[in-house]
Amino acid sequence: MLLDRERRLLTAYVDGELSSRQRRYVVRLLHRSAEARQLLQQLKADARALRQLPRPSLPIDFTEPVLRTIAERNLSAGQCRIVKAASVTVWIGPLVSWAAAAAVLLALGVASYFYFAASLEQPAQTEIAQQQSGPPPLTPQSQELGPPIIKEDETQTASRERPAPKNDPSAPAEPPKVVQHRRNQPKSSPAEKPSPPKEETVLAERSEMFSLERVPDLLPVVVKVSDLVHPPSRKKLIDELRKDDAFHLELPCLNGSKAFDRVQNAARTLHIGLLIDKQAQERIKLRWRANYGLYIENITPEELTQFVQQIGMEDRKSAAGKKNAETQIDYLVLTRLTAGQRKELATLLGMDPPTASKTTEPLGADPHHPLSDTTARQVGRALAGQGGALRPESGKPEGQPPQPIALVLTYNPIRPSPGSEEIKQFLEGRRPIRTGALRVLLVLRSS
Amino acid sequence: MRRYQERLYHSVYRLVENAEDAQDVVQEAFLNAYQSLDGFKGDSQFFTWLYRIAVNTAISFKRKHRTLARMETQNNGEYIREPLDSSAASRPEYALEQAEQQTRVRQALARLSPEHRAVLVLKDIEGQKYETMAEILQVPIGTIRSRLHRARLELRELLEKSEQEK
Repeated sequence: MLLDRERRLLTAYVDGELSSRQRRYVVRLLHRSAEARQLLQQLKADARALRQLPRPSLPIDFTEPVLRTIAERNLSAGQCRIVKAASVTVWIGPLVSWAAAAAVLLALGVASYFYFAASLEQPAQTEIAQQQSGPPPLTPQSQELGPPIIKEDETQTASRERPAPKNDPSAPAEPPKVVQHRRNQPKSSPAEKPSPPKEETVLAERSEMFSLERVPDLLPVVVKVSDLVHPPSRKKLIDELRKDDAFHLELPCLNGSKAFDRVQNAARTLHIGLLIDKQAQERIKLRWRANYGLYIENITPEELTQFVQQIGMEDRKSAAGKKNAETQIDYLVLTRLTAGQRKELATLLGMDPPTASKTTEPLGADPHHPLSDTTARQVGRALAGQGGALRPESGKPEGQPPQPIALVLTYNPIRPSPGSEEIKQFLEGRRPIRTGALRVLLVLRSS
Repeated sequence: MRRYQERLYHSVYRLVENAEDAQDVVQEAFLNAYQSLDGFKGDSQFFTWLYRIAVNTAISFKRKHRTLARMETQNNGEYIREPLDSSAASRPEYALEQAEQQTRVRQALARLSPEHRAVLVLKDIEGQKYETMAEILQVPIGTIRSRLHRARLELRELLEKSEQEK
């Protein structure tokens, strides 16, 4: 007599939805039990008979009667934008991988450009210097555009020719003046800009194919999550996280709901509170292949790194438990929170947008400067007390840092509307951001 | 509409087992979908969403009209479903046995509860995965698994009875 569990396995076997362990069990069962063999044969025959039922031909084209009924009943349609969103959902998975590949190619392109531009500039510098007996007068037009690019090159050349002494921490911490100035310019469309003065076009012509001031912001840092168990990888991520105060951390995964289990376990281990929005709760319960966004405040770079590391560990633990289970998460993709994402976050939460980034230092390797400059700048910043987590003041006991709380929302192409109970609860429980702590939008994106 | 109607009609037909009812259900499903387009959140593919509406419409239709299902009597007094289409009458002789088997399967399918029928249609006829079925029927995967298990055993039982009566 077959057990109920064995019958269940046999029906799931017909559906082809067994794990490899269960399948092996069923094969053993079929070897030893004639009853199991007979039942399986019958179930397969039934399934086949259902599949072989003749396919009815479409009797009518429904378009006309449906449209007529809509007109007769005076029905109103929902919003069509939803339909467009469906196609976004379908393509978002492949787009992520394409975007990552494009980013890598772009990084290579920019690096090559700077390499060749630098080698070409050397003979050109003398000629340019001769043409310009003094600093070019700034016309109102050129003021709008920011300093001419040639000046930036001069500054860079000058800084290359006269490197600051390494024992002076303040000198390397100064970002190149011209670059800083350009980033602060309000952006206007190219159509509104007048053509640049002639003397500025010497190098501008070469560089106008690229949006040079935008590229570093978009370059992501990609880290293999499983590598975070190694101190160098952790340090690399922490260093990147210290470059700004707000980040977008993307975790591409196979199934957002399954990956969220790992996140939940990691959060429990590290005492990170999770406030899960109702919509997200439903999708997690139904194990949908949805995307989830976790907005976390007041988390230090070290804590965030540990959190992601723990997520990776939980992922591997879950995969190790089941023989057919795959790891959900492989890589993390870190970018600064862009202006658009800050605005979107503000809309999602119904709050003021997080303040814009104060630093312009690009993530990863900065193609503008030698690596030694970046190291010196980081040392300078650390000496000035701006690097990393806060330390307690001398003589005062170390206070318990506030426990980070993450708000979990669905992050599908159609974003949830603000104002849920969980969002209100999150906003009410917010505390001032600690110095050195981050705001992070962590996205679990189903592939 | 033209893109989805054939596939939708096929599944709905298997759920309601009647051509006219299937037409009504598909038309109603399109109208429901049209009116609730803003309810589509982009969590799933558009077809899955549309399919969900059609399956739910068919299930509720079946619940309401269970007693009104059209039946025809044969000479021996047994109730059977009306033929699938007019071409069924002109089947060659060698296909007679197969046609009888199909009739038995259709009859057994029709006697299942709408929920059990829906999972069998989605799995065996439409070839959907548990995950997609869970999205369509808006129930956890575990429920799909147990519904399918019960549906298969119930179908087997009904077919066995039908074979014994033959």
